[in-house]
Amino acid sequence: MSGGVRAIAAVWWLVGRTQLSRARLVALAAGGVVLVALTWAVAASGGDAEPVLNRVGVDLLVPLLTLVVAASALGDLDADGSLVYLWLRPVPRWQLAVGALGAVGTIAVPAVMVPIALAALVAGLGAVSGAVTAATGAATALAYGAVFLAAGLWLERALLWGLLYVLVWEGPVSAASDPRR
Amino acid sequence: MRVRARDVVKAYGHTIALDGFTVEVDTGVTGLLGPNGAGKTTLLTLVLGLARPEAGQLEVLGHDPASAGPTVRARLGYSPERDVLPPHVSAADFVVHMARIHGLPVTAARTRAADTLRWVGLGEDARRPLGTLSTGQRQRTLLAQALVHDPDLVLLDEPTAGLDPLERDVLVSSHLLPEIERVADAVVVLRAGRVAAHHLLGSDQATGEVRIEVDGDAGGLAAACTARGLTVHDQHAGRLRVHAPDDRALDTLRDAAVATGASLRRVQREAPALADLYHAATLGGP
Repeated sequence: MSGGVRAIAAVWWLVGRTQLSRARLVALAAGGVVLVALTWAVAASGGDAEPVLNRVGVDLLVPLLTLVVAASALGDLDADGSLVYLWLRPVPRWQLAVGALGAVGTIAVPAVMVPIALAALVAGLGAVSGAVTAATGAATALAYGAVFLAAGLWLERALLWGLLYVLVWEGPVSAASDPRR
Repeated sequence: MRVRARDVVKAYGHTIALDGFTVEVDTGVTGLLGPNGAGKTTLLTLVLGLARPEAGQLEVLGHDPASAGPTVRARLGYSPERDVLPPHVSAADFVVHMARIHGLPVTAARTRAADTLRWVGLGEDARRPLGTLSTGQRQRTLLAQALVHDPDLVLLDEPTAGLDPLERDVLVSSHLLPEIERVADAVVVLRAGRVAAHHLLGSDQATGEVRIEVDGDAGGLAAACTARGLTVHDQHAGRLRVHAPDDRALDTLRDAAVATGASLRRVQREAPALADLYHAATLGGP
C-alpha cells in the first residue's frame, strides 16, 4: 500500500469515526423510517407512492441526510481546531479531501440507499426500478456530499445554510420550476 | 541549525506580528517565551509552513517551509495548544492513524503508537475514548501524536504535560518559566514581534556574581576585595558573593584571596534566574 493510499485510508477512518455519534445515527435512521412509513401510508391508502418516493426520498431526504453527515465532517474539525491534526501532516490536500469524501460516502450512501430501496419495495416498484432509484439516490448523495463537505469548511453555520438550500431551493423552487408538474 | 530566521516580518492586516525577527535555534530544547501577542504562535505557524512571511528568510531543517511545506512537516512533530481531540476515538486509535497519515504501514504504525503511548505514560488508558480521559492524559496523547512518526524537530505550543525525557530537538512555546528553566538548553524571549533576548541556559550567560566559600571566617577576604574595588554582597560566616563580571575582576579576587591567605572551598559563577532574564527582556525599554 502506497503512502498516499495509507493517508487516505487513515483520514477516511478518522473522519468517519468522528461522524459516528449516536445522535447522528439516530437522525439518519429517523429520516429513513419517515420515508418508508410515508411511502407505505400512501401505498396502503391506494395512492401512487412513486411520486412520494421521488419527491420526499430522492429530492428531499438524500440532500438532508447527506447534509447532516457532510457539513460537519470537516466543518466541525475546523471549528473546534482538531483539523490541525490532518492539516499539518505531509499529505497533499486532495488526499485529505478524498479521505473525507470517502468517509461521508461510507455513511451517507447506505443511509439513503437502504430506506429508498425499502420504500421502493413498499411502493410496489419493480426490482429494477427500485434499484435504479436507490442507485440514483446514492450517486446524488455522493455529489451532495462533495458540495456540503466544502461548504462545511468555507461557511460558518453550513448546516443552517444547507437546510435553507434544501428546504427552499430543492423544495418549492424546484417543484415550481419542474416542467412535469 | 534547526531553525534560522533572518529579518522575518509577518503582518495580519495592520497588526505586525513579527517585526524583523532574527534568531537561530540549535539542537536541544529551546524555550520560546513572551507575553500574549509577542508573536510566539505566529512564529510556530511560519515554521510549520502554514503562512508565508512578508519579508525576510526562514529556514527550517534546511528548507523554506513556505515552499517546501510537506517536506518540512514530514520531519516535524506538532502539539497544538488546545487539546481538542475526537471524543469517540480511543487514544491508541488516534495515534495509530496519525502515524498512518505519515505513511507508516499499519503494523509499524501500531507498534510505534503503542511504544509512544507507553513512553508518554498513558498505558492501558490509551484504549479509552479520548472524551473520557483527563486533561493530563489528553495532553499526553497530544505529545504522543507529535512524536509517533519520530520527527527531527518537535514544536510544542503551551504544553502542560511533563517535558523531561524528550531527548530530541524541541521548540517549545510556554509561559511556565520554572518548567522551561528545568528542561530547556536555551530560551528565546519575544517582545512585540522581535527577539528581546536569546540565552543559553546554564552556560555563558552569567549574572556577574561569584559565590565564594572559604574555610573559617570570610570577613578578611571581604575586606580585601572591597579594598581592591570589588563589590561584596551577603558576607556571612564563611560565605560571600562578589560582583566579578570579567576576567580582570576574577584576577583581583584571586589576588585578594592570596593576600589574605583565605582557603577557598568553592568559587562559582551564579547563573541568572530565568524569571529575571524574562522580566528584564519583556519589561525593559525599547
